[in-house]
Amino acid sequence: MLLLSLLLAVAAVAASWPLARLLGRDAGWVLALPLLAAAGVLASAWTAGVRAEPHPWIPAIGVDLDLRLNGLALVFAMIVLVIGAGILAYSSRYLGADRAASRPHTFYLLMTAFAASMLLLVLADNVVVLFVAWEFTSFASFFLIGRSGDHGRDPAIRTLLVTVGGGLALLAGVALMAVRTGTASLSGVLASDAWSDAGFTTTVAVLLAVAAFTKSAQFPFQAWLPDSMVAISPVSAYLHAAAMVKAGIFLLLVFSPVLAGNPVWSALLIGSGLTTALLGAVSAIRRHDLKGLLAYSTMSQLGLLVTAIGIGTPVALTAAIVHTVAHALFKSALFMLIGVVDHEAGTRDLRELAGRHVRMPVTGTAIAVAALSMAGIPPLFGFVSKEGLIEASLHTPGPAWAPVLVTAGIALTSVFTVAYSGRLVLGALGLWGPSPDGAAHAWPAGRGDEVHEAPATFWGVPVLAAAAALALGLLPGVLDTPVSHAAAAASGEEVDAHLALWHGVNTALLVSAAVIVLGLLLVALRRPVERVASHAALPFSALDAVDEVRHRLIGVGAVVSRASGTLAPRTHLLIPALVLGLLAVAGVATVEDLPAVVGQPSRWHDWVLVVLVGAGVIATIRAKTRIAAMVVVGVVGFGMTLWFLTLGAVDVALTQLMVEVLTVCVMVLLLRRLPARFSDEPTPRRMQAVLAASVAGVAATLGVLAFTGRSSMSEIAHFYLTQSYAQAGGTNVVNVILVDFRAVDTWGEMTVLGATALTIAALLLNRRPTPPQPSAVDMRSPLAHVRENLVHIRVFGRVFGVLIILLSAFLLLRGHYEPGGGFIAALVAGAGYALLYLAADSDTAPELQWPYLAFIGSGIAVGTATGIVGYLTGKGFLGAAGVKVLDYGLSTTLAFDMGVYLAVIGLIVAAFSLLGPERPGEDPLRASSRDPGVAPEPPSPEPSAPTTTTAREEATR
Amino acid sequence: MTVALTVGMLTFGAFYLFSKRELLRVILGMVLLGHAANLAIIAAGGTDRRGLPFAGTSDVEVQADALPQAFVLTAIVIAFAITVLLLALAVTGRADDAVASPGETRDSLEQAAADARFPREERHAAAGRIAQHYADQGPGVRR
Repeated sequence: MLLLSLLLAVAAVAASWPLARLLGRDAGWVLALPLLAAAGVLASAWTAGVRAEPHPWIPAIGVDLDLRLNGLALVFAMIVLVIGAGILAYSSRYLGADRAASRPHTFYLLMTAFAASMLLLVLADNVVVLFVAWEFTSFASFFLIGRSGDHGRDPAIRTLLVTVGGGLALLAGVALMAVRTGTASLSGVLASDAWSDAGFTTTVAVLLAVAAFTKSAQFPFQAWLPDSMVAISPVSAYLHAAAMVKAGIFLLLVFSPVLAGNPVWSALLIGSGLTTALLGAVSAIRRHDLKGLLAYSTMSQLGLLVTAIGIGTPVALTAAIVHTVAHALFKSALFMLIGVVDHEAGTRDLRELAGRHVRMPVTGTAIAVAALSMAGIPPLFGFVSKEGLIEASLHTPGPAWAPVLVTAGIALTSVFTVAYSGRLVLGALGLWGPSPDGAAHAWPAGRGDEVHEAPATFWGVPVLAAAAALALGLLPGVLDTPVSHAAAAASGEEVDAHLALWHGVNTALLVSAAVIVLGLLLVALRRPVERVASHAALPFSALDAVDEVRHRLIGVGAVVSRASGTLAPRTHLLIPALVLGLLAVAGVATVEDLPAVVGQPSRWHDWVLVVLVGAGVIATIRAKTRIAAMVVVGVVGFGMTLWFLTLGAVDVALTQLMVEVLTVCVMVLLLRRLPARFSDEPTPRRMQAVLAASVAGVAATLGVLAFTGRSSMSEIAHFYLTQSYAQAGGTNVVNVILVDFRAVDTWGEMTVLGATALTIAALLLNRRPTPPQPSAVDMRSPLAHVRENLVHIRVFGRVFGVLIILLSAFLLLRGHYEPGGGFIAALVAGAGYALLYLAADSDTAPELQWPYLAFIGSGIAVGTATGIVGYLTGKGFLGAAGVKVLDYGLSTTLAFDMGVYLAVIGLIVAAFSLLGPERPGEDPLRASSRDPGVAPEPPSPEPSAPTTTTAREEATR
Repeated sequence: MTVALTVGMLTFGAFYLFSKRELLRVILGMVLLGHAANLAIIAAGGTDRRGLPFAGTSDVEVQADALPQAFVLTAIVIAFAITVLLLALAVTGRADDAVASPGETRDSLEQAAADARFPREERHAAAGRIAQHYADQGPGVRR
């Protein structure tokens, strides 16, 4: 059942994109349903007594999708799902109707993914799964903040840096716990007896506290939260009320049973929590932007929660849970309502609203109710939770001054809370009046003086949330049971909570009363307060601190890379040569008895090949021009082909042959962009290079001599040779290994090919290649007649193009039995494309426009799909599944080979179509026209046809 | 002996070319090094048995080891992809393939940073060019 609720949330993610494509912003109404259904499933699972559900995932390393539902998980899951559903419904009116501008599909995809990962986080009973879900929420918030446009980029990056940094702390904590307790199960970890070790407990406490502080924006990691205000209101509402920041609180509560009472834990949480609470509250009363005010208020409220968790007594944990619920309600309501005001008035700056007549009775009332709940005024739910916090702080364990200090901190924060709540209400209703820096700001022209009420479909959800804050304040008893269970899970003891508005006259009530009176006084004296507050700015900003850290880190990276950084490749590439030499010396010195050589590794005719390859190598390194080097490196390549052939590797030889042809073709495309000759180097430098290369060459020779040919056939080789027909039904063992036995390797290689082609595409579509070298072609010479000179290739290509394609298909189909297969067939087809390319009239001829990206994508898709077919038929991922069609045994391996075929051909076509064509404005003939008298014609946009015509006329004259 | 010598010669050629300034020579060095590695991998399977690894064509005891052959087959194709990528790099960026290496004297880090910098306007222009590229490719590619 728990899995079902998770699957419902995942179904919402899967449905979000198509639904938003179909319905636009209205998809929010529909997407709220699966989240509500998931909440219903959890509630019924709770009443049915389902508490744990193990689902194996990666049992080999103890990482399983174990889900458990305790009171804590239930409370948080309800917040995540119900508030999430409400915000989705609200978004369907908040987003603009213009789909191109509001991009509802990306919004709903990310929001539902956010909800699903939060649900996984609270239900996970495995620390590794918990970590994964935690990171998911970081990424979801990063993308949600980042999608708000260019001004969202830097805040999104800062948010990601801070939260992912905390994620690393969590990872360290998770690893430490899993290793120390020997289990990755969360319940197992919590039940372990390792927690009696103070060193271990303290280390974990610090790591988890850092992780939670980054997530919940606690001092000193608070900067990202107000910064992330650039996101649209629904995102902020979810981020602040239910999702992101509550994940940190959840983590602290989950580990509270084993960490509460640890002095470091308490000191960290109370110290950081109180600092953040005060900092946030003071900052909030200086804000003019109402949404910014709410952001600082979130920081402050979370500080109170962290403080309460730091106190760690069952009463404090109960108060923390109650306040979490209260905060989720009033904060989500306020963010959404300010969003409504912003939407209707076109501003959320209280100075601009001050000059307007805000006529929004429903929205205004709801803002007032929610803000009163935030301020902790009876009879709202916020009062109940605030009472609990003060009551808990009065009984802070520790030295005698601890309760006084903590209570004073909370009370002071609460005074400011009342002040900024008043500021929020008055500001939103346009009653704030002129600011100290002058009269109310002017509002954009074209907007009316009056601000009218939004439609009920818009304000409905936030008003419901505000009403819930009122209802729960009047009847807090309905939450007794879930809160008791949640507090029991967080404290590890039986808790029997009784929530009520009236506890009789006690210290907490008196403190509350004093807080409210002082707070209202601050509201009444708001002019002087504002004047003081606006001067009380901190000398530094936390945002700058984050940026400073970021730049310092980059600076450290620069220092590190300066030690090794050089643009001369030789420095990097020659180090391996010397290391290879050292390795050889070490090997000669230490390796003693080698087994005897088996059989005859060399044959007399091998020496022909040694001479051939040697001659090719010497010619390559002595070549003075680029074109010569390319030709003679081809000699080496063909020598290699013969080597593979004589060693019994016919498939490899075929591959090498085709690759050699294609490499030369691709290189030729680039020749004109590079100078003709290589530079000369002084002799001493050449001698150094010869020395280093000799060291590497001798080392490589010794290594091959010493370590190969000294054993008989290995077991695995014997297995493949004898079993390939019996188990995979193919006689070409190399091909069977590629597409069946080790198909996962091939699948990975396919993606490498695809990624390389994409990289080349990204590179060449973004950067202009270096312009072609001027070539002095005399227009009167026969060489200038491009079209005429290609007549034999065109004729040849027409006849043989078809044959090559047939040959390629034939090689693909028979690959399982005879030399051939996807790689070779694709290379043959690529050679066919090369022929077509050479025969074409221009680089951009229509017959050359093959959709290479589609080839690569479909190749990888086909390969992956066959893998999934194998998985679904129970053979394992990429396991071969066979079907019999018309007496021929057809196997999925053939489909897989076709995937390979498509990916390889995509790469080849990409190489030609990206490297080959002229760029606009670069025409080799025009480059030569700089030389007056050779080609006097003006440059023409069609490079080949018209120019050759004129050249032909010239020649016939 | 013969295979070992060939691997040695190829390695020698590769590392000699690595010491050169021109990227094209370095790329050729990479090609040679790829050959050397491939041959060494085949040699690891033994060069005494040289029968074709096809089931049922000959006695298993004289057949060559098929596993290194499979490795090398894919390695050749991947090496081709890398070669093409390196060739693309050779013709993009600064046109210093033959210029008397300014990069070796100037602050390499600054230069690398200048290469990596991708101002926002340029990014937008690049996005436009990619869109234009798709528009030019006509039907069958995208849209």
